[in-house]
Amino acid sequence: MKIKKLFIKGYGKFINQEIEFKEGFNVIYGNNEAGKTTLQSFIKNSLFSFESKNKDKEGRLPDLKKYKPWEGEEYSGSIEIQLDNNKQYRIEKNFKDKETTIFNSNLEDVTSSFSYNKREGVLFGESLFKMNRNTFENTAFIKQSNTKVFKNDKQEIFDKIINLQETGEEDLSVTKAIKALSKAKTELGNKTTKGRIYNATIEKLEREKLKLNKANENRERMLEKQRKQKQLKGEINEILSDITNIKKEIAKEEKNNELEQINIKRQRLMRKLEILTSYDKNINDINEKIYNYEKQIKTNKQLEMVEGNTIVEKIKQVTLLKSDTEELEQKDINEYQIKINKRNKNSLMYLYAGIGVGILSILLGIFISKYVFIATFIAFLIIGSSFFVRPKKEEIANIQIMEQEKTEITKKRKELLQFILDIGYICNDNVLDIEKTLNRIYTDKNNMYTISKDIEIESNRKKDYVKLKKDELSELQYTSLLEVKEKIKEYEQQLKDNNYIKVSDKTDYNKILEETIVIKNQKQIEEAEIKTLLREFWMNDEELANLTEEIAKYEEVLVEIENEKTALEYAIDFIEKAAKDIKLDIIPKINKKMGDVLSKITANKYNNLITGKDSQLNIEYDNLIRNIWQFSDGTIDQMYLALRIATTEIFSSYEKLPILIDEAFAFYDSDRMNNSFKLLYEISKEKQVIFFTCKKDELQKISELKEVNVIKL
Amino acid sequence: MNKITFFHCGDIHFDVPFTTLSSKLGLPKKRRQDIMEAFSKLIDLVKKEQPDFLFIAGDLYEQEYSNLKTVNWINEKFCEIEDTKVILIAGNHDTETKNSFYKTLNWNDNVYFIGKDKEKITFDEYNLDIYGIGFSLGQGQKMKLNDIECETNKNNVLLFHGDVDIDIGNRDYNALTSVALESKGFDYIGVSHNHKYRNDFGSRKIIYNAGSLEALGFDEEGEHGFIKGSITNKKLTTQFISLGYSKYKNIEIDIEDIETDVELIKQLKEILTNKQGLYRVVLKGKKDIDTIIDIKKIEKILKEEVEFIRFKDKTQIKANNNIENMQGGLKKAFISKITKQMEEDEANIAILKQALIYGLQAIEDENINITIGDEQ
Repeated sequence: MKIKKLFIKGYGKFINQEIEFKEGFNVIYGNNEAGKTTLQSFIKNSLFSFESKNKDKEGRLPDLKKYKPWEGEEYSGSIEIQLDNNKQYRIEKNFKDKETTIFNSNLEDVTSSFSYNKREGVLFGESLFKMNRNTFENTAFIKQSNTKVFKNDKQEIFDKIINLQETGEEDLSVTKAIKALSKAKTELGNKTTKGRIYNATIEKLEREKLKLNKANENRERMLEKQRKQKQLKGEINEILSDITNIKKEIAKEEKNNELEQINIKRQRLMRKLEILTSYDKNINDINEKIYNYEKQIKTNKQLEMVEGNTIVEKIKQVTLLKSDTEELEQKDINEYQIKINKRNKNSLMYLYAGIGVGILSILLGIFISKYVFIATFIAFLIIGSSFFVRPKKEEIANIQIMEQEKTEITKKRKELLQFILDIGYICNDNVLDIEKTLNRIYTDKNNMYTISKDIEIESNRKKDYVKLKKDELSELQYTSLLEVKEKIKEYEQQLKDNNYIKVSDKTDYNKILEETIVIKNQKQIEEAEIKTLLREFWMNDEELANLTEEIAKYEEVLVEIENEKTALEYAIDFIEKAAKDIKLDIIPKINKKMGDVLSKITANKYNNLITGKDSQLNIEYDNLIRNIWQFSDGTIDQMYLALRIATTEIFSSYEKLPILIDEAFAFYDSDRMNNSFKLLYEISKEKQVIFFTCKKDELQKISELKEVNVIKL
Repeated sequence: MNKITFFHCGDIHFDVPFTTLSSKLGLPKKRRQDIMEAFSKLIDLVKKEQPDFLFIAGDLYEQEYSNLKTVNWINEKFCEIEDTKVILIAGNHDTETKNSFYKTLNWNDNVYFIGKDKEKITFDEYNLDIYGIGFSLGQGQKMKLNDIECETNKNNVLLFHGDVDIDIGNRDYNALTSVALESKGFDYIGVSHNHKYRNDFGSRKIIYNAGSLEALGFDEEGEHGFIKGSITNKKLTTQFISLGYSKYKNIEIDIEDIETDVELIKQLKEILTNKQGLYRVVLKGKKDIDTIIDIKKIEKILKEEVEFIRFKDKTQIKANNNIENMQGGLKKAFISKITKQMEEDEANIAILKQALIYGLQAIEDENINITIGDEQ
């Protein structure tokens, strides 16, 4: 493609400016501010669509605003081009209204045959050259270097060449890009770094996780305590009811003790009563004794009056009488009498017996003969004996004497008896009794004396007992046994009313109460401690939830960091892949092209540009591989230019675009400049070259070349 | 006539952490307050309508997070509705451990807990048996269900915490089948665990999942509330009572035709109508590589408009002429490669987009701008 003509109605400082270009080498010369940049902008904006962004990356105003003329209405122009296939177009642009009109060589409006979109408008250059504005700018234009540093050395070119070899663009370096991405990745941080956002986040995360663990453990402990508290409360309640029961038992016990006391009193009183009763009994006994004694004494009033001597006399008498009586009894009349009578009786008996036998024998003899005589004999014997048995006369006389004795004895006896009766004793009328009685009387008389002594003694005894009883009663503060008995009854009633039961095996409830209270206190303390702990714990509202949320936040951040790292890794990966593709695919083509370009001035000596490791550049020159540093500055400049142009041609394969050079050699020395111009001139034989400069010497140099179109602004 | 009225709810999750919302200070706490408010509303309705029973089928509180104060407050609320009997079972968030609040708290007299060792509670005055199957792993729930034999002359209600008709192939996970449940002779089966209201289990229309009382996540849009029901002479009627709409909203927006941040903000402002809302915005569509929207900036601006907003970037790069018309060097190759990858690897689109941005920044020797969260 060649640019044939420009016509600017209004654009930047240009008004109604026409510029004609020719094939080959064109030079546009003008001072700074003469409008070179304006022209470049016009060309770009004429061929390509309008910019739509507000500001470009470097913060510069879009051209559309920048070049709007201050004065006048017109903001438009046209450009005429000729394609490689000789088709010609005239593009008319109204920048104010954002309109594009395209005419073909026949001046027919062919705008509609080009793509269009609302935002960008008619896509002329995009359609024809298959590239966008930026690409055009980067390929067709060779500009001053972007670095502001005035470098005049090889390194810059070198870098440009390396970049071209890596990326196809002189400003873009794969190595730099990857380095920057790696650095960004490291800056995010990883396990081995310190102080990066990754590390800070991990630290915070670990810290919060630790807190959460602790908090969870603590919570578990506290929940356990909560359960324990409930348990304790239950136990305490049980104990409290136990205590109530124990206290009841204690009260019962106390009551029982009271009753016990009463019982003891009762028992004591009963003992006392026993004693008193025994005293009373004794007193009564004594009274009876005394009574009896007195009775005896009383009974024997008569005896009192009788002298003892008399009694002794009478005893003597009775003793005599007794012996007499005995004698008499030995000769007992009665007995004699009885004997006699008996004899009489016996003799009579024999008599009768004999008679009887005799009769019998007679009778028998009558019947039984022999024995009659024997029997009769016997009978006569018996009758005979009866006579022998009859009492004698002496004996009968004895009896009369005896009778007389007996009468005397009887009289004496009766005298004694009367004596006894007079004293008031009872006695039988016989001598033994009388003797006995008299002895008794005598004893009694003695006794009387003893008895009064005894009565005295007994009285004294009685006095003692009475005193004891009195003392006892007064000690008890009662006046009578009856009172004591009543009191005992009272006590018994009390005990009965209160169901007193004697307890044999006493439980020490007080001790148990003490122990239970100790346990209760322990539990209450424990419960209070737990309560305090729990109260503090439950105050920390939402602690666990907050920690969980914090942790989630940090984990989110970590995920974000990971994602960013992954993105950076992808970027690196894809850049490397892309670079590889380019190396394999495009770079060889570029290098070949470069060789072609260079061969125009160097007669085929350059064969290949090889990029080694670590951005080593070697060139196959003259069939030898040499390091690029070995070449002179000028040669290297040429290589750079050739490379640059080769790149353009590879990337704009649809059309051979013109090359627009803007102050690219501003800092070259004359040699370098010469060499560069040489190459450019050669190139211009095949491509349109438009060279912008403000340098007079450059202008001069170029003007010396043949067929150069010079345009002065 | 024998009539039993009840409210059935579950999945209240008092004191639960809100990790998704943790990036906004104070919001999780507010949400926990929302739970308390929803519950208070429920209690007010109980006071007003005086159902015989309030069934809470598990996940009432969080065993790991709940404060005693909260549980005491719940109990106090139960005290306020003394005429209604409250029936509780354990969920998977408030399981019946040794130290569970169900055991250690002195619940009010009208509160009944059906634990592991209990099969049912009988209320003679209603001729009613209430069975409870709390949450547990292993085959426990299945076995407990098997062992149940309902008395047919009584009203029978089952409260269950778990899934119905779900097969995740893990034999240790109890899901009960609607067939098994319906075969037992229950008049009402109140389920909780799933946070979405369901009334479509089985064929007899007696199985209902109450859903969460208050929406708790972005996957819980729509209305939340509880089930009001009655069993009259063995016949069941139910009604879903809503306590309000979920604050969570998922929005998908196609930004293909949106050119600028400003435009997007304007459009979003029209959609984000609820100032109290919690929004998750997914951006979709294909965009040119040079018109990448600054999502973080937009997020920052819109954070002021609503309670919570979180963006998810699912936009794709338009593989368009712009790439074709690029200079055929590294940049072009790089961009083509990544955009191709983005078409094949939808899951990683967001990361690949960032890779593209960073790659270009690196290639063009610009500063690589990485922002993590709200910091640089």
